[in-house]
Amino acid sequence: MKPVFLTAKAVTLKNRIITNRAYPLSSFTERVVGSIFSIIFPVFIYYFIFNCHISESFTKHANTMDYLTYIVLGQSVNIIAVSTLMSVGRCMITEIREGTLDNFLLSPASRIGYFLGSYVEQFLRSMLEFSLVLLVGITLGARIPAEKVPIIALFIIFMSLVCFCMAILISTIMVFTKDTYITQNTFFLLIDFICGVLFPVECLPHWLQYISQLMPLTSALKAFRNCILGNQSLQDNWILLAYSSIISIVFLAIGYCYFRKFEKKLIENIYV
Amino acid sequence: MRNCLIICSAEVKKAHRNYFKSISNYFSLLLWPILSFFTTYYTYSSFDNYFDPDLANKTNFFTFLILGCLGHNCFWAMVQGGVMQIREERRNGALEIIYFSPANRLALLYGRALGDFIQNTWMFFIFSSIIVMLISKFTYIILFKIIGSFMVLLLTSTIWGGLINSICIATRDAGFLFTIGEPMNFFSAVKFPLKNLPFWARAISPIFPSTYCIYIIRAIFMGNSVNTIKILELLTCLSIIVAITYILTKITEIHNRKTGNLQFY
Repeated sequence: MKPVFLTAKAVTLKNRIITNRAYPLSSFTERVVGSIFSIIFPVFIYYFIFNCHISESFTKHANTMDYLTYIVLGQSVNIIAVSTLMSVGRCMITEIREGTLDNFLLSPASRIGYFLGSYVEQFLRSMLEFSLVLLVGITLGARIPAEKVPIIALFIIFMSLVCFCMAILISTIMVFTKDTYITQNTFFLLIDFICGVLFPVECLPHWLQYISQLMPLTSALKAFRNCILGNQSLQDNWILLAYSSIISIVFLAIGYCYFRKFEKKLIENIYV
Repeated sequence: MRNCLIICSAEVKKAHRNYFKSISNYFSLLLWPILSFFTTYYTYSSFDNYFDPDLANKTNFFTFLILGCLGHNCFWAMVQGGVMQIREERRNGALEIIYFSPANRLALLYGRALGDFIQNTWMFFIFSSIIVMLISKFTYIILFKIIGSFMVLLLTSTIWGGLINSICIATRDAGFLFTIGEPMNFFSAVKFPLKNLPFWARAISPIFPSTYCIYIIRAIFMGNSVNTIKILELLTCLSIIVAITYILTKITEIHNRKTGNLQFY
């Protein structure tokens, strides 16, 4: 346990110094501007085009008439996903590009500790982004009751861990394909499209609904909305939470096993 | 003039050889716009009816959204292509070698933008074919509409791409340009009619030439009359962009001659 902790701590400190010195503003502003404008589009059409009239199918599938809160919750979770996938997913390929991977692989440092360190470093930043999006959402009309704050905090940690598991698989795909651009953007767009960020998953064709269930974020987001908008308890959503946890563990297991397997050939493959 | 044409053609050839067979093209020019289009389409499913009598039927609505996505994608590809390509050339030293040559700087910038746009051409034809299939009657008028829209996109995207390239050469931290994607999407009315933008947003939208371009190609395909004032506004916007590009290029070169750091990243 101690090597995992030591590696995680060292990586957290290293990444914090890099972010503060090299990219103090650009990565943060890019994500925040992106997320705020993602809220602005649905909010805009809600107020200015449809005069706050939502469809019956939305009410039926989302179990709520509060469209704004529905969107704001979706986008705030989306920003956690983007932040975690960007930081943890790209960490290993960044080492390759900066030429420091050889040193890392030669050292006895814990691999999972490395990923955990990257995760912890970006967690506080993603919380800041999450709070900002939530604040903008509330200003635009979303209703987040004060008594729901503890449950929101619990869900943030859960969602963040779900995204961490997804990020391990994505990191392995990036290392395998030696690409970040295509992999990360395709995942971001897929999350937007099939995880129910902007509209209920039930609006999609049936075959896409099945695919959306393969993403752990879909059921986690549904449980989150049920608890905040539907006044349900965590116990009422235990099936969704358990399902999301199982899929996340599968993502983590596949990603980590393939990384360990691929690691043996990694150095030779970098220069191919 | 002949030299400028040679430079432009060299840049177009380079872009074609470097990127045409690249798998990233199929993702960024085809899969991503399709995913983005369907995300927008299903976002509208949360509301009752269509918002505009002209878009009351599904075909018109599909055509409207596809044209918005197409226009936006051409402009966005300029940003992505410009930032990535120049960052790479700065790293491997090619940018400095190019700047040692007596090549006309503006021809270089516009040649690159044109090269990037031509990479988008095949995507344009796929989208145009979808629109033709949606309208489901191929006539000579449709052919003229496709050519007309192509010319508008070619002109505006290339001039926009020139500005993006000049910014990328001016600063090595051009990653901030990725921030303009969402604002450009919103203020150019990619996903809804321009007339629905509130007053304050309409004051910002003329900054982006994509606003006029999307408005014009929608008017061409959907049979609406094109407002002459909009064309004049577009031409004014393009002239200002060309002027900014020229001034920025001059300032950058003078600065880099003094400091000599085009190569470092």
